[in-house]
Amino acid sequence: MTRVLGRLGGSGTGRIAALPPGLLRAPTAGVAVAVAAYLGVLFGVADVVGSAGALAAAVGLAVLAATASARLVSPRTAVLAAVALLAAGLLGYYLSVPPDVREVFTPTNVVVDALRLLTGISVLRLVRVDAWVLATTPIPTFLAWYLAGRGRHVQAALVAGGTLGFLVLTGDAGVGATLLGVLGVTLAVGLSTLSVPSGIRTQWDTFAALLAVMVVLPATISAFAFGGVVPTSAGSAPGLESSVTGTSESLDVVGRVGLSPAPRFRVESPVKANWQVASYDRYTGSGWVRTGEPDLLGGSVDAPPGETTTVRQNVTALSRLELYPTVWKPVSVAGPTAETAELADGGTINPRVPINTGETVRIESAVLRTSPARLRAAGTDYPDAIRERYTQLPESTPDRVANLTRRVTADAGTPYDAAVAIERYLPRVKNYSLSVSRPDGDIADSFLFEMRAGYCTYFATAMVAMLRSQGVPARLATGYTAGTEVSDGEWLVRAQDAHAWVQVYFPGQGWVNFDPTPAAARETARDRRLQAAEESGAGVAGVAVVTEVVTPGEDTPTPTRTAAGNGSSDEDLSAEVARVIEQGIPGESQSSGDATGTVINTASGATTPTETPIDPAAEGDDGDGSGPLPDRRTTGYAVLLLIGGAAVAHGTGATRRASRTVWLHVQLREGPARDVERAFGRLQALLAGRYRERRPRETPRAYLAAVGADDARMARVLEIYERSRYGDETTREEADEAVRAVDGIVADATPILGRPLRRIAGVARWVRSHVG
Amino acid sequence: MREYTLTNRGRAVVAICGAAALMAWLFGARALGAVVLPGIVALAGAALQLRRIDPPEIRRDLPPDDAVGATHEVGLRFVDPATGASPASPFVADVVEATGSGLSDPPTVRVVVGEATTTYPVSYERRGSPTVGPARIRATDVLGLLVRRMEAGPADRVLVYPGRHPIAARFRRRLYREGGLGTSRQRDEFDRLREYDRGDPLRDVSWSATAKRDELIVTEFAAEAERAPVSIAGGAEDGGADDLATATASVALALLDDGVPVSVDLPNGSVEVGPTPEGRRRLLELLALATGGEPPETDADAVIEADLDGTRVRVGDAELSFEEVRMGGEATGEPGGVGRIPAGETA
Repeated sequence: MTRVLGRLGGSGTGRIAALPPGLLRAPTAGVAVAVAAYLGVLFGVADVVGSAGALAAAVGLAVLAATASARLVSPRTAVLAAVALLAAGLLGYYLSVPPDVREVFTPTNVVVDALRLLTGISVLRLVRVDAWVLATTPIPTFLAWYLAGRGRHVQAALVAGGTLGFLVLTGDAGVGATLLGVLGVTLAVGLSTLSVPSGIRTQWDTFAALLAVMVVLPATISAFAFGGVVPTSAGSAPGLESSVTGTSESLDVVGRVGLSPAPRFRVESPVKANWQVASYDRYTGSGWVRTGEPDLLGGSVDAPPGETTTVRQNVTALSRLELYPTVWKPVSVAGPTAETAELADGGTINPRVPINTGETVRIESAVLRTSPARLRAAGTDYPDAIRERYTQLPESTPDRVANLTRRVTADAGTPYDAAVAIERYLPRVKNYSLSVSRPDGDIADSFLFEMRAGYCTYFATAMVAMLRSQGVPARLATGYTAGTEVSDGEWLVRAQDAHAWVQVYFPGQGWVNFDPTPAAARETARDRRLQAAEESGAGVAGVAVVTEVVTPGEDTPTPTRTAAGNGSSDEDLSAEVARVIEQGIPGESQSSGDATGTVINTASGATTPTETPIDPAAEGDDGDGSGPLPDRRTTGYAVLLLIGGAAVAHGTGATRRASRTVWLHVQLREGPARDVERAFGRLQALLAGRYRERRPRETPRAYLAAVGADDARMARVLEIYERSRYGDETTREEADEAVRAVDGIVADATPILGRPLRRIAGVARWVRSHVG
Repeated sequence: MREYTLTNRGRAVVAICGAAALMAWLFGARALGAVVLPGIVALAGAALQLRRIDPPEIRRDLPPDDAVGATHEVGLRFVDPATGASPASPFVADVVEATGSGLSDPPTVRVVVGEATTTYPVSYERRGSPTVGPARIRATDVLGLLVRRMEAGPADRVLVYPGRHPIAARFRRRLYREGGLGTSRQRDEFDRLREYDRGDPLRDVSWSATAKRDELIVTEFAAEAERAPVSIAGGAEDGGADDLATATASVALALLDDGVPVSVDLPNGSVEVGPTPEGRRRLLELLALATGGEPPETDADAVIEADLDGTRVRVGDAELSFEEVRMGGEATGEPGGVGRIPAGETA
């Protein structure tokens, strides 16, 4: 194959269209796989920010340039050109970054930032990752392809592997992509090592077995140790809290989650509200990423553009707290760790140093006072920065999301009405469940069209995606619901209160909360868990303290609009914000609790909110109807395991030994002479294993005598064999006798292993005699 | 040197695995397990592959004995020492042969040991009997991460003959006379025609017979074998043995080319040979191994002595330097070979 290709390449020498000879050699396949592995990751990134088309063009150009220059340009020139292009590309990237961000770029900062990426910060967090991907991706692609064209496949694999390694360190390359890259690099290195005459022909089985183990072992271990590859067989579900309000800068949407009643913090606040800790702007299709770096707070920040009321909260940590939970929007912080407080790009404030248990922080928030009428009147004149950042959707988002949203919001004339329509639509058509399987595709699309149930992250993600598909700036907010009011104006918040909801931007007003998650079902789930913890006497310190004050039934519905007005009239805005919030939104907007409750009933037939499977431990109904079918990863892994096992078995000679074992134990009848010959062959194989092989010139009789095999049965087999071989025709009876004798000898030699094999042989013989 | 060593590639894999494990420990696992584990598998697999190898033995296709300056191919085949057949598990290796002084350093060849045969070129640089082998084998795994060093014997020897200069016709004729037979060779007693054989003097070629056939035909004369040989003795002081061998080879081969038998006495032995291929071979074998020492015979027809000052040829009372005797030009390896048509003057 390689030789043929090589000849084709050789004959083309001198023609401009001819490919460089290095590209026509076998290791190029490995280089191509390794390049494909990192390109797959980067195309995923480009898809999120909508530059996949441009990236494809850039990569295509790079490949063409590399192919063309492989014959013409010296390696030195090519590497220098690549470095220069990379420098130019990065310069272009920095120029594309907004000026206010750009001014912090000093050479030191740039280097430190680049190194920080390697600690596991996704490139998706770069503000202009679209420009970054376009500027950097073609360079290693050019270099790897150029080197492959020059026949330097190992160096080419190094370039591709290094690029993938960068993406592994940033956390953007998953186990699958990484293993694909490892496979490619190994192929390239191995095939170039074996590119000596008859190298591949004699070593392919060893190589294949090695490759199989290299890929299957990590896949297996990550499946069982990290739950990375085979989620369905992974261990226990993560907590809802960690999946929603982790401190990380990205939020992966996971499958089944559990609830933990552990107390987190206590808030003294005049208002009941969602305590927000973070917001996410970039939707990747499989999760959320916060772009940009937080700045040191240093004083206070601006209040939202609309009319606001100041709310002061005292947050007391009941466990180490790495976040400041506040009502939106926090403007200043005082107390321990306040001097390290950082302002995230999205407007939330968090400490760089965690707050210790028992410490109290005073947080001041400017809460927007607004009304549906004002929100309706806000218009769509969004600032460019807001529109660009908060209407982003992956290019690969199916059109049906937008189509569905158009139908749902057909009657809505303003973004506010659209948001309300979606907020009502989702709880009507989807059930609440904590035990769902994470879908393979786009989360929002899968939730809308394939899943029957989900929890807050799914509802909120779907709503943001729907709004963005209509050009309405929206984002995911995470934090905690109000929790339990333990005394007047004091709220106890537990891990299980973790929540995700939606914020929509209104020009001249600011970010306004919407919550599409069915509140009643969510609270039922939470309370069940709490009750269970009490009943089982789980000695969670905080639980005992609060038992007497837990009165789930009396809870008002979770306020969906922290700062929506009374709704009936704009004039009523002078009312205390606290009351506005406590009452929720009357009229059309007062909805969550009762409305969703009834809607769920009608939508899912027999299922009532309380009957919704909510116990995270409840297996079976994972809400998306794909339960009995193994998912794609499991299937892929099984196939991998099968191929790998076969390669290893072949490479280590296990298949040969296995077929030898079967041959030794199982004899089907063919005809007297053949049967006797084979029976004696089996005997001889058995003796060869026990003593030694028969020497080339040794007669069977001399051999048996020499190894001291003087068993009467063996002597009889020998006699029949000799007569069959050198004497008269063998009779059926004699053949049967010989086979039976050898069966007996083999059975005595291998009492345990042989039995099942002989049984199979017996069945096979019986079938044959009755069929034939 | 240790038997197992990591190659640069192997060291890179170790470094990458170490760095990845460190990053995973410091900043979280990410997909680094999918880097570290395959790396460890690759290294362990490399060690396993190399441990499985049984050091093979070498069977050489040795080049012919030839004169200084010649270049030949050495063929290599690998066998299992136990069975004599091809090794059971072939492996990729860099093979380089150790050669004794007198041969050029052989190149390193990359080959699948146990499967393919391979050849490498070797130049004969100095007279003597250098060894070829044992082969140094650097076996490597399929990814080239680890190297296992082993030696594969046995070692063989080749003979490298001294070079040769053409000898002036005047001097050759003088030697015939000194031998007492030179006035006329009795070339009239024709015996038979036969095919040319390696080492036959060109003057015996029967051109008329050759023209009718495809191969060279020589005439054999009946009386040749009975002719008394010209005796040559030689000796050398330290460091002069090579010069002695070259001068003796030049003179003796020139006489054989003329159809004159010679007897040669050297410190390491003596031969008396006629102008046959076999005779030339025996002469050259003696010369290839010539050492220094006093000339064993001082009243030979020609006595050749070599030392640091030069090489002298004494014929009767006359003593000539070897430079005067030869026809000029440097020594060539070409005519020394037993199988070649002499390039020098033949008349």
